[in-house]
Amino acid sequence: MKKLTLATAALALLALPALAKPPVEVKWAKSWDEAVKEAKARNVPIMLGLHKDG
Amino acid sequence: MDSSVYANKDFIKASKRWVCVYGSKDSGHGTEKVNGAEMCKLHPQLTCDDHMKVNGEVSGKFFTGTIKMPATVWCDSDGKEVGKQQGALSSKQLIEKMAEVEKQLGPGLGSDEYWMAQDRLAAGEKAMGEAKLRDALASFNEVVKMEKLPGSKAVVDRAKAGLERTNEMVQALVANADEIRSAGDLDRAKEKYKEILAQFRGTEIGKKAEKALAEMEQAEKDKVKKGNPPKR
Repeated sequence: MKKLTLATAALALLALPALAKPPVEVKWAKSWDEAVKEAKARNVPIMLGLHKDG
Repeated sequence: MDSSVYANKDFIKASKRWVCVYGSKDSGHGTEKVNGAEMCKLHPQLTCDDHMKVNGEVSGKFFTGTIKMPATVWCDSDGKEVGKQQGALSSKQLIEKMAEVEKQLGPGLGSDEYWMAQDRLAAGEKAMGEAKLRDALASFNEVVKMEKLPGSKAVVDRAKAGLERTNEMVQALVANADEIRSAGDLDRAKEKYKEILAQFRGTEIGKKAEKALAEMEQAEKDKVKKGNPPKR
């Protein structure tokens, strides 16, 4: 198991950097439940914007 | 607010420290095609059904009676209201209010980091499903490296669980090759060690496979020298 842990550590060093692209717009959650689930997972607050046309 | 505030670069920057939800019961603003799908013209990453659904989900939750639109609600990570405002806000006012709430609730994981982690976790699971264990380990390790970021616990825990399952699979591969070697099926054992080496060259596991292969080749040479060819 120790050797496997070493393998894992060696691979960590070889891992490529993340290719995350910064969003150029606000990322909206698709539902209230999804928003709460994501907010809990990230420990961040939620902002709800309510709108109407016109 | 749709075009003036939500498109403001400072607001977009601040929004990354939040989860943002948009609700509207209206769809008269129309749609536009995005990658072949009909998306909301105002917020093309949503469909009008999405924001109409949100509107229904939160209806009566934070306001009763007639609401002066637009309205904004700020909640903690459990969805519990911590503040609300009826009527339009400028970008500056909105960002200031958001900063105030953030100060109360403390830091969490930014959306870029969170979605990068989701991407890597999915890639790790996919690689594991395809038995590309080295790729799986690399993907999960990228997420584990986020451990020191605030609010990263949930994604890091998932990555650690992924690493553990992948390591079990690696261990099973090695055990399987060792077992085949012990049973005397040397050609098949060689194939198995070569498969391991192909994925893990340069790591401890790869070195173990290399050592086993070298030992087997040496044993074959020794037998040939003694005029006793290896069993096939």
